[in-house]
Amino acid sequence: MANLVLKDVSKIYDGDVKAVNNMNLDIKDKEFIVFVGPSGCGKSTTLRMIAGLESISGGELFIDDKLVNTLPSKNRDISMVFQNYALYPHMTVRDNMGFALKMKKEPKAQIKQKVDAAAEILELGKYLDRKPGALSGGQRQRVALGRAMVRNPKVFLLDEPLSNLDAKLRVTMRTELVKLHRKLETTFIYVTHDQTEAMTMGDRIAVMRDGVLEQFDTPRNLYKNPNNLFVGQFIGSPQMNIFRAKLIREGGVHLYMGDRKMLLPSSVSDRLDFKGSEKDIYLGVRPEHFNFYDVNNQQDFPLEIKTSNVEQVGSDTYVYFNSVNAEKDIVARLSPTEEVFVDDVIEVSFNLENIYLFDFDTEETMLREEGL
Amino acid sequence: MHSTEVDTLPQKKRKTSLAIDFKKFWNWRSIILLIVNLAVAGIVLFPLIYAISMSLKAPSEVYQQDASFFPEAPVFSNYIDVFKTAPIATYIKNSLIVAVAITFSQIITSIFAAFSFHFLKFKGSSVIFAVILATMMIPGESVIVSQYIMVSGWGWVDSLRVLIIPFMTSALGIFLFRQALHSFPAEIYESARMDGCSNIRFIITILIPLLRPTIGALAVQSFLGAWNMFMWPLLVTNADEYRTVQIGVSMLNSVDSQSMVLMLAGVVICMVPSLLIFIFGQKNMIKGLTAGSVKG
Repeated sequence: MANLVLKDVSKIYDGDVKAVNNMNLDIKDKEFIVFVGPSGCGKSTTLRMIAGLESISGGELFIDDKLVNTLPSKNRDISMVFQNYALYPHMTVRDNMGFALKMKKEPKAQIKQKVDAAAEILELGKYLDRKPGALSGGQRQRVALGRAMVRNPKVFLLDEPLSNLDAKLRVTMRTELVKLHRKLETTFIYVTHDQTEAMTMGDRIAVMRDGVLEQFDTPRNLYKNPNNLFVGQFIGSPQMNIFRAKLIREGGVHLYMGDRKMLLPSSVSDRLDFKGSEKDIYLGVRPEHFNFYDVNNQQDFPLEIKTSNVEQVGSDTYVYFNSVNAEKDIVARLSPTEEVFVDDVIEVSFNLENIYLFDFDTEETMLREEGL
Repeated sequence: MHSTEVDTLPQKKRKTSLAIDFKKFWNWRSIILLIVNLAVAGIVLFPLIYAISMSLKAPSEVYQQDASFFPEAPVFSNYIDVFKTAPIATYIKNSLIVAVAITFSQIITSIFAAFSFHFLKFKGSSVIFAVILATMMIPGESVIVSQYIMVSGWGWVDSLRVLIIPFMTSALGIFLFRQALHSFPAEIYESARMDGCSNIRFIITILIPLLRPTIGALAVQSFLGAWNMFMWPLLVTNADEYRTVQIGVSMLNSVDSQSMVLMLAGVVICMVPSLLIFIFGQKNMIKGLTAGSVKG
């Protein structure tokens, strides 16, 4: 159990390639933190710097208020679960789990006791004498977790540990990991590129892009108040739709898109950081905020669309369409109550209470957080 | 922790029926292949069979004009007499000491070197590795004189160490292990480091057991190389006390003690250890030499 602080931590390869750029994080004791971002964003590099497997090019790393920049991995009191589990294939599950304790020269009886206790939590009791080759992917993953657990570390580091599992098992193990975190009451730092994993598991999520920390917040806040266009699009599945639009001050602030304009509701305009009379913006609308158009809903912005693809998933209907105001296909998640077919012309709308506005030039959000 | 997954263990392969499909097996293609294989094996094994056959003949039978290929009455005493004629036991002992010492030392030094090249990052590692590989291109005969001058200057001539120390490491071994490490997951090393495992401990506890096929390949290669060494022992040893079996056998053909059957009995005796090593190690040798060559 420990808090962890990263102060301007950077990783520079070959003199000029910045894999991680001035990363600042303050991770509290017992938190479940998730690093998320696309491939090459520096999330695994950051985790490896925390683990001591990569040297830190700049900045300071503190574990429990102790500077650990140059401390070897084995002395940092942290455990890591690797993407491919990194089990020792020639050793039994018991030997794998007890290896770190053996290195610490703990008495055999104590090692056995700790391994048995971890195996019980992870339901690995009957596999203790097997070798990793005779285990399924899920079991190997649990052995890797058990190996980390027996050391009773201050911090657990997990580097995409579920990515080698099939989709169904991944969902199961996701829940199991969250339960394990609650049971162990230890700081967890988890790396993934899957935003669903991040949203469902993390107490707080660090969204990274090109070595830069874009936002570090709770899942709810990342969804509701993304700092910029990247975070807005990265969090949420299917991802946020982006339109090119305009804000014009004519009495109140109006949203112009295509040939239609609508007055922004006060819940949005009150939070809006917009001083001029006219501005190009990116308008973000999440698929789940689209509805079939209802003339009675005064706050809804209507769009007449021709469907290019329709996906029925039972609980929802995903409707894809093109818009002259958007570069990519737009997707709307609609209620399955009305049947929609490809090439249908229908009217959909989105509620102006639920829109996201981003500066066209900086791509930063123009809306202050709700409640601030 | 609650688990809902189905434990999907690798299923044991079903035993295949022992009944052979003769029709499928005995087609013309297989018959021709079998004949070609037998012919090639016969040509390759002919010297060996000839040596065994001759070594079992009585000395008088060798020069008979109508002598058959196989001995009329096998004479095993040649195998006893060869030990009386020359100190073959000492030669075999020396060869065993030299071959075993070289094999072990080459395995150890090659693993340590390959580990350093693969896992430890240091400046100039690729240049040093290239230099080591370059030594494989230099024929041993071209440096044998300068090596002799060096070891004789140190007073090492006529000793077992002069037969062992110059061969304690192997560029081929380093290359083989480094190739094997290319397919070795780096995470295992990192995991071991985090577990508090030192580099030496990692090599002994984790790397060596996992590199067994490559170790087997190098062991066979090194042992056979050391056992069959001829030029170097001939040059640096004079006393019977330090001679190896290859030199000893060649001495059986000297002018004053010429006996074809004894010499061939000696040849057969000195072939036995290398044949045994090859028979038991050939699977590993093939596995190790091809390791890392294909994605798997």
